[in-house]
Formats: sequence, C-alpha cells, structure tokens
Amino acid sequence: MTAEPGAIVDLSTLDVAAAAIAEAVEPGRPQWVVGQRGSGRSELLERLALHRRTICVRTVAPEHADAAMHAVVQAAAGITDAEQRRRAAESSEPRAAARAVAECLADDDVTLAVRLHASWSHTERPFDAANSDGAGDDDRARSLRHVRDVLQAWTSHPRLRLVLITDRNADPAALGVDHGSDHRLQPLAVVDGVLTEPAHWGTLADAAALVSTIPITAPLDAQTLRASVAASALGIGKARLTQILACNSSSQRWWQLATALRERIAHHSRLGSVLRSLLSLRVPLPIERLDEFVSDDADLEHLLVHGLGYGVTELRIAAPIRRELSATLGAPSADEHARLTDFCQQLDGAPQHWKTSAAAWWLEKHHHALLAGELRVDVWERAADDFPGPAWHWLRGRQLSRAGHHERAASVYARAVERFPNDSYSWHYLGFNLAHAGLRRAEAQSAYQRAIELEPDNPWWNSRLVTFLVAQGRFAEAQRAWSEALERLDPDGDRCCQDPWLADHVHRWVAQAWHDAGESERASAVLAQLPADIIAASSRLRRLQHDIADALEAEQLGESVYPWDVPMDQRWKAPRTITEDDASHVVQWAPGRVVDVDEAVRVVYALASEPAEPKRIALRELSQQEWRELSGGQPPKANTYFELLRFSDGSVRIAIVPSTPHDLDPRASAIARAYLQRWHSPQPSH
Amino acid sequence: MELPSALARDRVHVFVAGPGIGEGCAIALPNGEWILIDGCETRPESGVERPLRMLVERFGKNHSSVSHLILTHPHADHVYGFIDLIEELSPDYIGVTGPDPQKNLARELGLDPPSEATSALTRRRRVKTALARIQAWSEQHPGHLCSLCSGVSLQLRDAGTLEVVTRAPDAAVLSTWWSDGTLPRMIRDDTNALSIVLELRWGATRLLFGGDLPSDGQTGWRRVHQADPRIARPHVFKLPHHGSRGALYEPVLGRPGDEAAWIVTPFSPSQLPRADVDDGLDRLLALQSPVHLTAMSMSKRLQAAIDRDEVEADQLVAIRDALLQKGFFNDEREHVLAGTGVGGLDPIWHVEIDEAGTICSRHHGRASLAVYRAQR
Repeated sequence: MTAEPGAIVDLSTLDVAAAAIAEAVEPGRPQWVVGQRGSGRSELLERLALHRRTICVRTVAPEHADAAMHAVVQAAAGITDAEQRRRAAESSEPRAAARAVAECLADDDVTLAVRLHASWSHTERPFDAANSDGAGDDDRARSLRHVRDVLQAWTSHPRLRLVLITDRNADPAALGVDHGSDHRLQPLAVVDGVLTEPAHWGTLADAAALVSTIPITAPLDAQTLRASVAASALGIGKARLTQILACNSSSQRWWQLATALRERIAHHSRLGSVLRSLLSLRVPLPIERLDEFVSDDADLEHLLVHGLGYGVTELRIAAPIRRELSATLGAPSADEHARLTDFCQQLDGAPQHWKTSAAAWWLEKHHHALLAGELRVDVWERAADDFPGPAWHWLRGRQLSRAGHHERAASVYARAVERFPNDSYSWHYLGFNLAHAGLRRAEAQSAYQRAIELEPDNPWWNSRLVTFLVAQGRFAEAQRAWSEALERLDPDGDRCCQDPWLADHVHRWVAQAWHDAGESERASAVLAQLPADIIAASSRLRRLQHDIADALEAEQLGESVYPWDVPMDQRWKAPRTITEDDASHVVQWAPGRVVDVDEAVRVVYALASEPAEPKRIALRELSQQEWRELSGGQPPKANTYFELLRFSDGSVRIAIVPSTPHDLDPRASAIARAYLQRWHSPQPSH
Repeated sequence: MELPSALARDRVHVFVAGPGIGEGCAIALPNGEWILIDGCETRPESGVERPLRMLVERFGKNHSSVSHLILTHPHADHVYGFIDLIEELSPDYIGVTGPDPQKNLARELGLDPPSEATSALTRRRRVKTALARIQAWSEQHPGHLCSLCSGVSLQLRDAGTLEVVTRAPDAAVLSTWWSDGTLPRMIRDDTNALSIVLELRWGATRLLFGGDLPSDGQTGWRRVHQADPRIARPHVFKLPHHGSRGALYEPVLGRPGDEAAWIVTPFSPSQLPRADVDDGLDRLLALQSPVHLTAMSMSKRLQAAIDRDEVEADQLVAIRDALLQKGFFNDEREHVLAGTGVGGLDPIWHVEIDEAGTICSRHHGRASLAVYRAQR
C-alpha cells in the first residue's frame, strides 16, 4: 500500500468509488454518499470531477447568512452560457435560484456534486434554531430554511444528475430526499510505517518518530495521527499522548487532543495568529499559497501541512480541531479580515468573479470584506450591484444594524429591494432600520407591510409590524394589526395551542412590546390567548408572564411592595424573612418598600390582613431614629424592601428583605431561604 | 349641582377632572372647539374610564371638535389616557413643552430609567410611550405639533376675541436648557419646571391653567408673574400641583376680591392638598373660599362614598378618618390609599363663565366638593 505525495493514506480506493458513483448517477436520482471523518469525502469530490463534466460545490454552515446563495453561485459556475448563468442565479429566493441553476445544469448534462456541511443534512427544524435568547436567532433559522430550500430544489429536480456527499449522521429520508443508492465510504487506511518515514513529515519527523513509539491497540485514522504528531511537535509529552491515544472513544480522544493542542498553541502567538486567519477561511487554502501566511517559516509550514492540517493539494483542518481552536483563538480582527480580503482577491478570478470556477474565492472575498467593516467597504460597494442574490445585502445591512448604524443599514436594504423587489427579508429590515433610526416612519410602516404582503405567514414579519406600532403608542392601529396577524398566522386559533414556537415568537414579542410600553393589561391580554401548558413549556414566556403579573400588581396597588423578581406564588402568604419561631408570634404583617429617604424615611406598605380582602397601600413617614429602632439599626435606603411585623407582645419590627443572597442573615430560617429561591432560577430581565 | 345636560354656546365651560392620581382639564369654547389639557383615567369596577373623552362625547351635540390636546409635562399622572385621547378624539393640534417650533419634548425620548421598583418603571414606560405617540402623530400630521412656551398662542378657529396664550415655561430659559444639555436632567429630576401654563383671555375674563408649575426656579410662577403681572387673580384657576404649598405663589393668587372659581385636584400618594395650618389648602382658603376640590385625597372607593356637596376645611381630616379603614399603625401619620371605584364623571368640577368674567354656574360630580374656610 502506498500513499500519494503529501498523503499518508491510500487514496486509490477513492478512485474506484468515484468511478462507481459517476457511473451510477442518473438524472433525478441523487446519489447519497456517506462517510465519516477520515474517509476522504473532500478528495472524493475532486476525483468525481475527473470522471464526468461535474461542478463541485462545498457548502458552508448556515450560521453564514449567505450559505444558500453561496452554494447556488458555486453551482451556477458550471453553466456553460454566461447569460444563462447570470439569469439563473439572479433571484431573491434561494429555492428559485437553485431550481433555475439545476435546470441549466441538467440541460448542459453537467453533474452537480455537493459536499454538504454537516448541519445542512441533519434534521434540525429550521425554527428550532431560533430557540435561544439573543439577537440574530431569526437570521440563523432563516438561513437554515434557505439551505433546506436549496437542497430540496436540487434533490427534487427530475433531470439533474446530483451527488450529495455527507457525514454518517445525515438522514436522507428525514430530509425527504428520494435518493438512488447509498455509497458508504470506509475510513482510509493509513500506510504502514508512515510515522517513521521522514519524507512525510518534514520538520516534524522527530515528533512523528516519537509518536511511532507509543503502543497503540487499535488502528488510528490519518487525522488523529497527524494531530498527535502536531501535539508532540508542540511539546506535548509522550506520557500524555500515550494516555490520550489509549482512549477507546474516538470522540473523547479527539476532544483530549484538541484540548492539548489548544493549550500549547496559547504559547505560540505566531502560530495562533496564522491559524486564526486560516480557520476563518471557509474555502480550503491551496497549499501552494500557504507561504503567503507563513512567510518562509518552514517549521510553521510543516506544522500546518503535516500536523494540524491534512489534504494533498489543499490545506484542511479537521472539524474538532477547528472547533476547539476557533473558540480559543477568537474571531479575526477587522485588520485580519482586510488582509484576507486582499488575499482572496488574488484567487477570485476577477473581473470574471462568480462566472468562473473561482466563484468560491469571489464569495470569500466579499465575506471577509464585510467582516473587515469600513476597511474594505469599497470592495463590497463595487460588487453590490453584481451580487446574484440579496444575501450579501442582508449581511452588510445586518452588520451596520448591529453596530447601531441604522440609517446606513436602511440604505443597504433600500438598495436591495430596488434590485430584488420581492425579497421580503430586505423589506422587513428596511422597515426595522428606518424605525430604529427614528426616520421616515411612514416609509418604515410601508416596508413592514410590503414584507407581510410578500410572505403573509412569516411570524416575525407579522409580529414586528405590531411591535413597531406599539412602540410608537399607536395602540388602535397596533390592535388592528395584531388581529390581522392572528388571522393570517392562526385563523382558527389552534396553531398557537399546539405550536410552542409560534407562541414564543409571535405572542411573546407582542406581549413584550405592550409591557415595554407600560401597558401591562394589554400585554396580559395577549398572553391570555395562550394555553397554560404552552406558557409553561417556554422559559421566556414564563418570565414574561411573571414580569407582566408583577407590573399589573404594582399598577393595581399603585406601588411595588415586593422585589420584582419574587415569584408571584410566593407573595402574600406569610412573612418570609424571619425565623419560623418568630413567624409563629406574628399577628400582623405587611410587605413594603422605602420610597425615599431624606430627614425622614418615607415608606409604603400593603395591608392585606385577610386573603379575600382587597389589598390597600398605606404611606407613612418614619423618622430616621424610628426606622433604625424598628429595623434593628439598618441604615435606611431608597428601594429597600421590607416586611413590617407586629408580634403578639405588641412589638413592631421591620425585617429587611435581602437584595442578594449575600445579605441573608446566616441564622435565617428555611422559610427565609426558600424566599431567596428566586435567585436560583432564571429570572426575567428588568 | 350635578353636571349639566347641555352646554350654553355663548359661554366658556371649564371642566377639571382629578380622581386622586392624574388630572385633566377640558375647555369648551363658544365656537364649539374643545381644548383638552392632559390625560386622566379612573378605574371603577366596570373598567377604565376617561373623563375628558366622556365629557366630549356627552356634550358633543354642540361641542364636537377637539382643536388642541396639550400635555403640560411628562409625568405619569398627566399622561394616563393621553394616547387614547389622541386616538379617540383626533385633535387638530397637540401641544407639548418646547422652546421653538422645531424643538419639543416629544423628541426627547431619553427616559430610560435606572433599575427601580416596577411601579415606577411602569410609570416611566407609559410616559415614554406617550411621547413616542406624540412624535409619531406629528409625523402623520406635519405642522400640527405645537411647541409651547411663554408667549405662544394656540391657533383657534373663529374664536373672535378669545385667545389662549402660553405663560410658562419661559421661552428663553427653555432655549438655554435645550442648548446647554440641562434638559435631560430637568426631565429626570425637575419635570414640573417644564409645565405648560395656559391663560385664556376673553373680554374681561381670565382663566388660568397652572399645570404643576412650582413657585420658584427659573421657569416658576415668580418669573411668570414678573413677565406679566396681569395674570394675577384669574376668574377660574386650575391651581398648580394639587395645591401644594411649594406651587402657590401668592402674588399670582392675589388678594380676595371678585367671585372666582379655584379648582384643586388631589394627589393621593403625596396627600395633596393638605389642610394643615399654613399648608397649601389653608393658604388658599385664606384668599378664596370655597376652593373646589375634585375629590378628597383618599381612596377612590372612599371618595365615592362621600355624599355631600360642601365641607369646612377642618372637617376634611375628620371625614377622612371616619371613612378610612384601619391600617397597620392606626395613627394620624398613616395614610391609606388603596381602593377604586370612582366613575369617570364623578371627580369633576364644571364652571361656566361669560365674557364679562361672571361665573354663571358651577356643577360637580359625586366625588367632588367645595371646601370652605373653617369658621374658627
């Protein structure tokens, strides 16, 4: 068994597989090729191109908003006729663009071979991606939906010859892919004695030789072997490597290797800097161009090519290492992205840009130009009217919007809707950014409404129009818009009872907007449209429900007498800040708050001696001396919460409600500790 | 004394509503226009009621058009219901504090508060939303948002000799606050100093609507009086800041003289107005008796239980004590607030006045009463 130059595995099996797949691929019957890490999926992609007229596409993760169009543009590069190529990819909807490209490729009898990013082919629901807190969730969910649209457009095309290369966890049935046959790639066997063959390792030869002395019970794949050699070269001792490689679990072994590498790389600033740039490239770097990153540093070059990376002509870095190191090294700076932009420009085939096979580099250039922000904004501007879809406008608009440049972001989206008038996303964010810039609100409203016209069942578009109106205090219009939104999204009122996601992304947004406007009753009315079990299933809905209930109570009383984060079901039952013994002697109690303090201490407290009795607020001024006597010497402070207690012997005491767990009296009873449970569960923002 | 069933067209009618928290004024002019000042809500069992809207609807036969809706200053108790008034009554103009036509409080939305009690946070949110609503309204009605400061008159339709002029805040002082960065601090710490004061002049008649303007400070009553001493001793006076002592500037109150209608709204959380010796109500009564109180400074539920038209000042405390439920300390320093129940037209005084300054009639709702100087 021999290896090609630069390889430590026998790649000849891939030639056989590529030939078989090329032979088997038929129009309308996608070939589904599955392989685990180390099975040569990327090499297979290159080999497929040798057998038929094939256009190869490498997809990127849906975290990148251009993921769908990124794939479509690469595929379009396989269309022979330049005008057809341009027209095919020119659609605001990735599904339509993908279908048009597939049509042209089928006409040209070109095979489309797609190396799917893992998250393209797993069965995560697009909207599940939006289940965490924070901005941008909707963007990721939308991107995931778009990549699914592209995949669906290609797999369902009746005449397209399609090969999909994916990992072993992908499930074609779950994705609705009716495929011809499966090809399962086996892990590529490592060439015997390769560790002791200095020609394979360059300056890492000594490290490789050391690894060769480690007793290994089960055969290791090539990537593990390379990572071990890199770890050794970076100073990880034999004992630790032995321990790592003795792990039976492959994932555990990888995690330990990546951790070890991460620790060592933290001490190599040059290596860290180069790696940070390389890891941010979404396209494998041609090894022949590596010198531009390592500048004649042979040790560094060999560490990257023979140890941390793999690949024959292109430098690839295994996913676990990529993941671990990316998290450690952080994102490149704007300067680094600017340098990467310049680098990509050398490879992007300009001025032919995406019309050539260098499409991926052209896309990459603009990706980094965007991340370089103002440093390379000219690159984005020059190409803005040339992008074959609106995704790049989205990226630029989002970048500006997140940086608070709403007016400039609105200009970008305005430009997008001029070119792509049916792009609901750009209409929506045109409205959003105009609204946030406080500009041309009538235009913002029209933009929101246009987005809804184009995509009437989009939950976000519908709820944002309502929240836009609520934030301006346009209550009557907001109520109308809300009714219309429900009519479009959930006309029978049953969807929100079955779909927690819809409740979380429509009702919650709208209720939150009413709450933020100080309209707790209207906020409460929105949540009242949801069944209790739907609210109970969402931590965010539960939090909002609590916030609203707290605000309603404060409004009804006229004052707050409980800290906002005390759960509603713990209020009004009994004094909670004293020992159980003391509590048994309490004959009257009232929760309260210090309103302000100057010469006097002004307090409010709620009277609720009987549960059925309406609660009443009382005001009283105490002298500083009275306060200190009643509170046991505590200094008075505004917005301190307390419990006013009268005991059976007639004495009155003020017990301070601890504002943090550190304030808790160590002698506090179990009851008092229970009162503090509010700190042990996620609480609403205030 | 109940509110009239119709309004005579040749008179000016002043309605002042004040249930205990919040106040609003409605002025019906002889030409059929309404000028509304601030929002106001009550919360009887049936839900939220808005006195000013109810007045406009009730008397809409002869007076149907709201020409101006004015927010005197951005405090929650003056903002309650304001948004609904905009939407339900479609005013021709909205007026807010501002030193010139391009600057006004609706553009100053930087009211995000620090962490505080939910009750205060909700109040601030409502103020912020009301200002946002005014701003949005102004975009839909270009040129119809009025920046009001001293010297600015409201644009009325065919009002003849009648005019409504802004007397405070002082235009020059406001301009300075806007330009030197003082404004955000004023909004945060001294909002009452931004209060709009309106004077209605019609022949011999003088009406004054005092907002919550304090006596002193750069924009206060002292300055207003210095600018034009003729504002003193108006025939109808919505007294500033719930008759608190700090808002009473005696040169403006003037000496006892012709018949006048002075109207005070209560603010229960601060127990205003106070009838103690030398406090606000006591001082007012020394100059004008009776003073018209839109409601007693107590629980709205208890206000509704009061079944009398007039009372002497020293009886106020006794009435309150008799009506109050027991609290925690059960002494005179404890002030119990809770309760609801006043209907929208209960805490209201109505005064009808002609062009000669003659008060033709006065009416009041169930919760309102006339407070007379005690016969000591």
